[in-house]
Amino acid sequence: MAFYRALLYLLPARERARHGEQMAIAFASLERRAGVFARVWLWLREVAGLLRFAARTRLGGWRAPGFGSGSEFRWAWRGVRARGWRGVMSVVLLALAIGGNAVVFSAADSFVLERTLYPEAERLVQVGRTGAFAWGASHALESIPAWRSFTDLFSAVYAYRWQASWYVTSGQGPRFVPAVAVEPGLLDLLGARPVAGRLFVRGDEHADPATLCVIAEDLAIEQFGSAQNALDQTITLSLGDVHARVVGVVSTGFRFDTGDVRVWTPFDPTVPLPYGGATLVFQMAAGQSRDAVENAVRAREDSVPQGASASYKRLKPLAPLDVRPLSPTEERIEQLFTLLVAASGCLLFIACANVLHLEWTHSLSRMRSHAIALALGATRGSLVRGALIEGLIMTSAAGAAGASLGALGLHLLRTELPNKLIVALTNPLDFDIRTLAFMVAVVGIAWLITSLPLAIVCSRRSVLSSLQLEGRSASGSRAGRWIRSGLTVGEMAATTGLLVGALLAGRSYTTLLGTPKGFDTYGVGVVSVTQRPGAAEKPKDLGPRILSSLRARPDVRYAAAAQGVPPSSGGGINGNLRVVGRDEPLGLVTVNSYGVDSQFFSAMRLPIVDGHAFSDSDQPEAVVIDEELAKKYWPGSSPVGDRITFGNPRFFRGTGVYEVVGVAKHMRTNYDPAVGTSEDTFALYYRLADDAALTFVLRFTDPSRLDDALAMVRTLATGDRVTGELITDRYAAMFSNEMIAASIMSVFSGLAFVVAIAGLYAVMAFLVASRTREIGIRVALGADRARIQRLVMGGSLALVATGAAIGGVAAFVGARWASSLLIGVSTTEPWTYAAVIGSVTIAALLATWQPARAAAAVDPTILLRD
Amino acid sequence: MTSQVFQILLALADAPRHGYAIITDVEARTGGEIRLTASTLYDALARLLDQRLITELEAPPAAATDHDARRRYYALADAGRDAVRDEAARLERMLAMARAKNLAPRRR
Repeated sequence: MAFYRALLYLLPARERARHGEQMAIAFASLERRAGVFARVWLWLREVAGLLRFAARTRLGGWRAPGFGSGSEFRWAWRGVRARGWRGVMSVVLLALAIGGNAVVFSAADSFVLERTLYPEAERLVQVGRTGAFAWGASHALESIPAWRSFTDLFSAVYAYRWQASWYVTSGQGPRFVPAVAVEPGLLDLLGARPVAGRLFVRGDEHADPATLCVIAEDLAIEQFGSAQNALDQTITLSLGDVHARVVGVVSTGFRFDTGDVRVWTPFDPTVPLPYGGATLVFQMAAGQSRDAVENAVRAREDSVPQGASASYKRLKPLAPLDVRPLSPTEERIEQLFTLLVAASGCLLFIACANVLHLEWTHSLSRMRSHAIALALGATRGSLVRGALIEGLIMTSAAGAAGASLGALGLHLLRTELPNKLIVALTNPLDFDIRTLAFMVAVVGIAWLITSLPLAIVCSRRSVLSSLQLEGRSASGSRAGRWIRSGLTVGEMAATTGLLVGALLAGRSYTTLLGTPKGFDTYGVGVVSVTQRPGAAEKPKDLGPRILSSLRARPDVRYAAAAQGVPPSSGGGINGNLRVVGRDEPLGLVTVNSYGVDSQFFSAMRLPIVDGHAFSDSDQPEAVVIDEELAKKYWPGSSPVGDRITFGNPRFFRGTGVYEVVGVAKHMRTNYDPAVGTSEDTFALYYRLADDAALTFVLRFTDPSRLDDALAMVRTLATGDRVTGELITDRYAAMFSNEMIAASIMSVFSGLAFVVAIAGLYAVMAFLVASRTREIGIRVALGADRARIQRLVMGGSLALVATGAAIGGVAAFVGARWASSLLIGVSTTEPWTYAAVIGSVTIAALLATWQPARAAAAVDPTILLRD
Repeated sequence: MTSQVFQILLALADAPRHGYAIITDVEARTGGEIRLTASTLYDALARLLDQRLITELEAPPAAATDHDARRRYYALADAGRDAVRDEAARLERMLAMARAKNLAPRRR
């Protein structure tokens, strides 16, 4: 809607004030009910309508001097139509470039450039450290007063705490939404504005914690029809049937930390928590820098109570405290977008270069028509104005088509990107109007560079000399040849660079996807059930009921219950690994534990390399450990039969002493680096006995059977939330960055390739056409046809080879810089470059073939007679 | 009077409506033949307001069900009602002329 609101500035201020808001509301309603293609059509009609509205209200009865007769419009329109397929191609090329750039820049804006829309976002930070699993900003509640006492560093400190995904029940039925408990004042600090009601005020947190809530506008509309209607309504939250009264509604555009939070409840940090701590948001005092604050908090760390991390500290020294922006950008994402921006820039350059070529091929006939216009009494001014109007028509057409393509592309991006990336955005992925304006300006300037000089040159020549022009147009001059050659070389270089990038990114992605997972992923599906609030059936009854129905299906080979499914963590703990009976601990390890039943290893086809998988005769304390753990701490011997502890008396159940009954092949998880295996985090499988797991790992005869099984589970768990996915998709989600890089680079390089080759064809055809007379004379003087063909092909080949070589070198440098994005492939492997340069050259030769044949077919007798 | 303006005035004939309600009413009544966009609607509404054929209500009508505080409602003014009548009469005359030449179906 930001784009729409920006378009409203076309209207005069008075009309905007009178109707702007109403138009935006009505348009939003229309847009909501339209499908993807209907939406593109709606946008086109809306923009056309807005232009009409603006023209009527801004221009009224006024007509620009000199434009009154309409003759320039007619000339311009005739000029546009005279372009024929060239005009259509120019518009399509420019629209592709504008649309592609709009998508990339809008995404770059959300992902990298402007991560948050919070007021004074540069002062908002989090203080935390890298822990066993990831960077964390959670602090013990007792530390909050100490942090607040550092008034020289921080002007405000607020706490919040994640709630589990909550079930919201109201008029429109239950729905899961993530919820966060926030201290009063935090939402104000982050710039939330209520569209109805109010935000939290001091004192709200002392009421029963979950009796009040603030919700997001889209949830309010979904559940109650409108923001106003939601006020004072009660929603039921969570599995505990907590009733909360809605005191305020914030606009949908407001994003809290991660974007999918829809419910906020008040948080009281003075009430002790059953476990864990709270996440803190700090506003740095005015004038403080992140580095200065970081040094100061490291120096004062000891005066801050540490809660649970104090006990962890005894095992392993803590990493130093860091100060990070509230919504930091990953370096890899930043690099990725720098690459994409470069790629889209290349595409824009190629498109503009092609439009220049196309315009120049047309320039001869344009000069004639300019000359005729002058002969018919047009003034020099009207000629230039006509050229400007022509440019305006073409640029507007390209801009409108590009905006529609961009809107479509962004829609696809929003729906196709992994959800975890989209919800993590605090600056929503919207069409960036600045990008569109910039691209249209670039295209407009490119246009001016081509067409305006022509009109000016024509207006200075005598009519006769313009009409006599043949074979030696402005574009046939030496300067013209240089510019044309330069553009062709540049296009070929950009195309080669993009193709190499796409090939490397694609290979990196497929390499990552193909990394062995340790088990046979084909046909493995995961189905999870989350029960609705107040469900009568206990999980320990529901779980076995679903499991036995799944096992009875002919399309399910194995079905296992599990707590935790890879690649995500099953639940972890750090501890000193000891073998009972040995004095020295083996080492500090992080255990990533999965609770599984006896069919799990069969369902996953995860081989047991030593000992055996679980059987019913095993003790509850039986565990199966990962091959990598066995290799590291039992080198050359077998751990099977050993009894182990993790220093901690107990963590998942039992006495805390576990008997190793088997060793499973290494299974890839999130803890493994992209290449290789983790050195200190290991999977460990314990037996699910009467644990009530509602997650099921299924091996299907065919992966397409997943939907059918899901439908069955839904009938067994009516009203509960049932989700399912293939395990290959779970692993693919780990490599979403690589997926985006590979897919966008492929699209861009494919477009660039087609556009550049088409452009080369147009240039060569034009060159042959403009040299017809010269070629005819050569033939008349005895040059044979093969030689003529070689001449044309050689000229093209020189340009293409130079461009491809430059592009290859540029790609090599770029790939070195982006090597962290290109995991698992060598950036120096020569065949990648050879393959791309080879295919660009072959395609270019094919594109030159027809013009070369045309040149060889020139008949000197006909030519000289003409 | 264009057919779009005629349809907008007709949409306001029974009751005051807000912008989106006018669009949906026109679309439903014409079977999708006339689909207004926000810009075409408000371009027309601005002109109709200037010509005092319609008025903007200070507050939403009591009968409004889909109440949203941000929406503004428009009602047909007396002059607007007259204009619709005149236009309908004009169309009637046109139809009669077409019938006289056997170019339109006879009234049943």
